[in-house]
Amino acid sequence: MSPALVADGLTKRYRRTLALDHCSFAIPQGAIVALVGPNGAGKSTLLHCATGLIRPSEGTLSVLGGPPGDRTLPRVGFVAQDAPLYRDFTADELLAMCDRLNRDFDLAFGRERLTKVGVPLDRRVDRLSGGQRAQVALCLALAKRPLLLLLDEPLASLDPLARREFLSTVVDAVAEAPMTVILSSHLITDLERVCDHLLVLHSGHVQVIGETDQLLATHKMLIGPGGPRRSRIAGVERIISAADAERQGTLLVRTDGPVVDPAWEQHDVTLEDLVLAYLAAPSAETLLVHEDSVA
Amino acid sequence: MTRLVWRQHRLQLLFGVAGLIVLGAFFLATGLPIRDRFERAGLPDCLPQTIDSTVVANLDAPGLAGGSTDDVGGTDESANVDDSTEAITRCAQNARDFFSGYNNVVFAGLLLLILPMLVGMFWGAPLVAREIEHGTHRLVWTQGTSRLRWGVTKFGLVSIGVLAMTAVYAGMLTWWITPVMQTSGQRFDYIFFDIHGIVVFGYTIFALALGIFAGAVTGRLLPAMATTVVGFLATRLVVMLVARSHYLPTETTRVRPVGRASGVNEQWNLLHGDWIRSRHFDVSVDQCPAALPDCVEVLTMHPARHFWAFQAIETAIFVALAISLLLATIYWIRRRIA
Repeated sequence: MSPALVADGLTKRYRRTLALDHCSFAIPQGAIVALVGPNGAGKSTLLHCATGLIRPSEGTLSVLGGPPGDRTLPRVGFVAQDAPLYRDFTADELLAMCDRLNRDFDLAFGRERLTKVGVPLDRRVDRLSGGQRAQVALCLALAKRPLLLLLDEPLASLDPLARREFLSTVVDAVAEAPMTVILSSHLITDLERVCDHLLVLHSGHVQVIGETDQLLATHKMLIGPGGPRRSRIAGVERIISAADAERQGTLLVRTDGPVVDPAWEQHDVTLEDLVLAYLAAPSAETLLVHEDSVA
Repeated sequence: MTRLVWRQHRLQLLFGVAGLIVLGAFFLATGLPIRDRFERAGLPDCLPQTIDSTVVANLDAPGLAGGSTDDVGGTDESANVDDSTEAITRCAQNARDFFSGYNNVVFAGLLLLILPMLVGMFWGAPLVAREIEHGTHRLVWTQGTSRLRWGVTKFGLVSIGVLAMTAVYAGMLTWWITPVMQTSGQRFDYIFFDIHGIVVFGYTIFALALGIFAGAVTGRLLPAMATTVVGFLATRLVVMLVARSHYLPTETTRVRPVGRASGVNEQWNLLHGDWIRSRHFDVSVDQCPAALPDCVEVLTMHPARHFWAFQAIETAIFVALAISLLLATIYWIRRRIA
């Protein structure tokens, strides 16, 4: 099965800054990817490249086996940051608009889903709540029956209840029809419940990419002696971050085997720990965990 | 796509139609009295021949038309202006009187000069700029319809709408301005040349395209509007002041203004609407009233019959600019914008 998204040396240069710096990775079909990184990490640029709204300065990006743009867009659902919609349109008018702009638009599905989540179809967008607007934008993308769904910071402006409803709409849709989903956020906690892959971006670099289960299995928190470490700890492939107090050191490490050193007490990590550790150590090498993800 | 364009621009269309109705009311209210006076002065009947005649007698000229005798000129035929010449002279005089009552048209004319610019500001500039300002280009350009098609359909339909409204406007304006223009003899003057005829279509479509282009490049409404104003005025002024007089070569006419058999001072008929570029006497002016045989006025001008050629050339320039701007916009939205 060919990957849904393949980046090869993907680079986007704005006048002074590098938004994406030679990113190479692949996302397997059917993955639900949490795209995480601080503001300005290049998340939006990456998603915009995948829609064809931005052309890369260097490198290539392949979407559903083809170059991003006019030919792949009919199969890509995209909700941009802040869910932009025509504010003087009603939800129904927006659905009708997308129906005419897309050949295989599922109008009935869109209407049904919006009714189900309680969005009045005949109300103008500027009279809807933020959560309802996000639902409308998501619905427009889902009714395209996409193979790849790209959601740029979809939860940022939503309250906790609206977040939950939004994510459950995504999960329902994935359960109904197989698709690859990439959701971006600067907070992993938002996405932890729904994603099975993690892609961490920092300053235009890919810090981590892989299946969440595998990442959690291969990363451990070690608590042991403080002070300078003289020798390698058996089973530790790499120390991602270290917090040293005088008498006690706390390490977040990537393992390549069981850690049996009795001096170190080991704990499981959460995804949040893992993301924060990689973000705090921007020089950490890219880790490719998923076997499919190496193109 | 067509329905989307209609849905997004129906309000603007409504404003446009309302504007046309207001203008129509203004034209009707001011135009009917003008027409009425025009007819009462008998001008509709006599103007055609008067405009066609080469020269008209100048009744204002000193010492002529039955005034002081002219020793040097013919003696026996003097003060014997024939009927048709007299009719033409009177008609020209009526025309002059009629026109002098409508100098204020100039002010209305100035307003009409900037109407195309308003189309550029309020129809053109928001077209892409507002999409980018609201981020909705990310919605509409990521559907299964290419940006090329979006641009071509949208710009095409809006242009057609604007041109249709321009046609209505130009028709009303022509009806309104014709009496004043015919009696002015200044058809080439910017106050008339630039507000009627086919150039209005050229200016309007240019202003629209400039607004669209500025909106796409700046991505913000206010700078786009400002660019439209500056760009429109600058282009219009440059074309008007620098380029226009060179569209076609000038022609030269020699007029013998003084004396003639009748003893009536005759002058080149300005009611033609020729664009006089320069005029001078072959000999020094103070000798001319003596009606020397070589006292000839030399006129360098664009003749009135070149009017539509000039309009066509000017329209072509602005239409070409508009098409270039629209193509540049489509290139821009396909390549540059995120």
